[in-house]
Amino acid sequence: MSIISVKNAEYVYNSGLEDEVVALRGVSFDAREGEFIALVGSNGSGKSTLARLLNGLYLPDAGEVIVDGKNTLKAKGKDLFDIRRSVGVVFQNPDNQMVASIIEDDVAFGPENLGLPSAEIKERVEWALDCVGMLEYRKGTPFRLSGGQKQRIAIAGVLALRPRVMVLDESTSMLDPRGKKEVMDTVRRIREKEGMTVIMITHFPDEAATADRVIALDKGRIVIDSDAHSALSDVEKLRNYGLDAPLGARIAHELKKHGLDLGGNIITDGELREALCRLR
Amino acid sequence: MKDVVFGQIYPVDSPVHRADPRAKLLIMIVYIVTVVFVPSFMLYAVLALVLLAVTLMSRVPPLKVLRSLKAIIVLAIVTFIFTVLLNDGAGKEKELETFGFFVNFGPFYICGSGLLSGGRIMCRIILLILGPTLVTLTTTPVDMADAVEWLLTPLKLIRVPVHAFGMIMSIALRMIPTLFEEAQRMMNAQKARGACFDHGNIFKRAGALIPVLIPLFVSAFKRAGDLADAMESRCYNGGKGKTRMKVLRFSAGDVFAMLFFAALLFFVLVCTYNWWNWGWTEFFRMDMIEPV
Amino acid sequence: MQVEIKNLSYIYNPKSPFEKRALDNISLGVEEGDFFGVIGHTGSGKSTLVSHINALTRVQRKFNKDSVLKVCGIDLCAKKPDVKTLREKVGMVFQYPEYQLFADTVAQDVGFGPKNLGLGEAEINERVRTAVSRVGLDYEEIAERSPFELSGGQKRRIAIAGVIAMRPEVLILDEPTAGLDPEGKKDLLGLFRRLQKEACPTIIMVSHNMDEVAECCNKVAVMGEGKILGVFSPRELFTRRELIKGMGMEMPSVTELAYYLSEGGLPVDPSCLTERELTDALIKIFCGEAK
Repeated sequence: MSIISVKNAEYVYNSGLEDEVVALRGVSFDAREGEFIALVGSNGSGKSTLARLLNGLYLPDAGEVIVDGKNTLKAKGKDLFDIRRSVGVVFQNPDNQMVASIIEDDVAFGPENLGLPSAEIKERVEWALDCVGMLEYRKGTPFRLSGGQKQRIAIAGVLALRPRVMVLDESTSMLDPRGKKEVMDTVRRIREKEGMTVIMITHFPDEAATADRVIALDKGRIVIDSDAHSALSDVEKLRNYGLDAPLGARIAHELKKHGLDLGGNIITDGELREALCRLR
Repeated sequence: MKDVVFGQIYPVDSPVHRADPRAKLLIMIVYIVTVVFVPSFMLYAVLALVLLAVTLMSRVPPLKVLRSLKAIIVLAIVTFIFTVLLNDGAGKEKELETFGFFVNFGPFYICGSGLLSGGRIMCRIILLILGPTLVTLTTTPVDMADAVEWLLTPLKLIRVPVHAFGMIMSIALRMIPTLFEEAQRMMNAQKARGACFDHGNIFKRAGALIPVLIPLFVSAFKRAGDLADAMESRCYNGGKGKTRMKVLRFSAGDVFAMLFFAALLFFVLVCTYNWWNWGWTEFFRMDMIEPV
Repeated sequence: MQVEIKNLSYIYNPKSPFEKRALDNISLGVEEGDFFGVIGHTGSGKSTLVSHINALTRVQRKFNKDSVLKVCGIDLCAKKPDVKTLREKVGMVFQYPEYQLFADTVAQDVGFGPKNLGLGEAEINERVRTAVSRVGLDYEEIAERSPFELSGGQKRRIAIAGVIAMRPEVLILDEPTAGLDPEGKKDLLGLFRRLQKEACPTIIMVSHNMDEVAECCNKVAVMGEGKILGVFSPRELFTRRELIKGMGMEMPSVTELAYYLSEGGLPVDPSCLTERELTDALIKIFCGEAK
């Protein structure tokens, strides 16, 4: 059963004006419950716009987005609330998504908006902070934290809504390698523990390689939609859309050019080593 | 500047730190009213004793509290000098009789009555600074913002958007350090391009800030947009039906403290205005030769 | 020597409970022609170090009685160092430099630095023109546009043009590719290498990205807790896995893969730095056999 269903969605900025930009055209895909999808695309391909369509922050100019059976175009009041609590979005800049100056107050912001009783909010905040491994910092301020830690707080803020889908909109792009790893590990842990559906927007091929399925956008259109291995091993195709393949795939591709076909769709270091060792 | 959240707080655990911020805010208001009403040195002494007791209870070193006076000591002294020099004792004949000296040079005077008024004003300024200082040393600005929002709640009846004020305060506290840091970074970036912020007259300096202010505004607007998206995504809809994780509850101690300060105000009023002609209140009016 | 540092220390909040030694007796030399990398995790003192080099942070004279800090021949330990000349000779590109754009047009923004130098209009125009084309943009097309309507990558290039229009001898880059997509990163690194050849012979780059460091730098200083843990060539540096990992930093992904392959019994050099190198090694091993 698909939890999110995007049908022929189109989105236009400054519609009808001189500087009209069509950000998305005829985008269709279904996200099934429990899937891990990486959404890739170069800058300006429309991926961040798509993220905002998924929780009704933006409404499609044509086509529709159905979240858990509810159409974002028609959702008002409680339905819109339901959509937003089903699809949590973690944004790019960790500094720009924190509302409160005390960590636990910030994580409580979502459940407070839902109007939950105090005891339940407390429980959720504790659970969410524990999920991202930041429980011990609950009484502190975010200012002294590293980028990765701040982004984990932002993830906790979304988790506290108990969403069924988590969308990460380039959430690692402003972090140092350590922060990236922290966030990726957190996402992996949450998926293992909660079986949550994750849609991760990224331009790092090695991050995309951790997903089950890869959707690539180019100039507002979906150009690739397949399992991660076949999507990311097609080095030439990715390059055409200004995208990079993971290192393992690039090397396998070079070797193939020199007549050494390693077979299969290699994208990770492990797969490359295995294939090479088998040859020896 | 990163400390805007914890403000000046002196980080120890004490009954005063733990007290409900709303109680502290109310007590601070009552205390200020009390200080403003008090006209006699005896009662200043009483207030000072109360303040000392609270300070000891809060485990903040008394010297730390006194240090807050550094900023206003000059103001206090200047006020004292002017009050003395400009007071010719008019309408205070009894006082003048008791402290029988009177010096006049040009438009200025020095007389007993003037010295008394000067002293009272000085005491008032000092007490007015010390009380709120103690509150800021034991309460975070975040808690204080919550308390202010609570205090304004009755204004909801006349459709004042109290919740919005609360949200604004909270976001301001959250964003000030970030923007401050950013401003510093921008200044450094422009300095590295040869900009100079400390040369020339005031207009020149203000002009030199443009390359800092414009990017700062641009970035502040971008942050505001991002924040709005993030808040909306987390189901914010203007505070309708919003609950709170931290439900503030007055403890018995809070109630007792508030009652105590209310009683203190009452006591001060009774002593000052001698409402019921109780003889013992004379003691606290010792230095008040003229009735109020 | 373009940058000469001997026994430099810097202490934040001295004599207070928050005292922190950001730089601890550091010595360092950067020669003309170096692409000098500075690595270390957040808080290791990298930023304090580079902000000394263009005098945004002044030498604490009382803690640095016998220290040396000379940049392009200017003595920054002097009581009144010639900061104005220094800023002319040392350019600094901050992290996310596109956020510092402010002027109405691209040309004005790029011209801000040269104008501060007090140059004549003709000279300014000439410098702006060269700087814009050096960063790979079309001057005619872009000069009169507002910097705010450009794309993210273009904005960053314009901000960089604003620094190189000062014609610095030493260029400091602080995380220059942060937030860009892989293609943007590649382009920008190419740009810096070209710049080094054409205009600005000495570049100092602070980076978290080891792929970049491996690709661009000829010398790398490793910082930790305010100290220099060593200055290495990239090849030397990335054979010291323990040092890198111990500091909680990553190896370049190519080196990591090469190491991983050699651990699996493949005869590749575990200190490969570039993709080309590793691919060639593999081709030699396998395609040689295959044929």
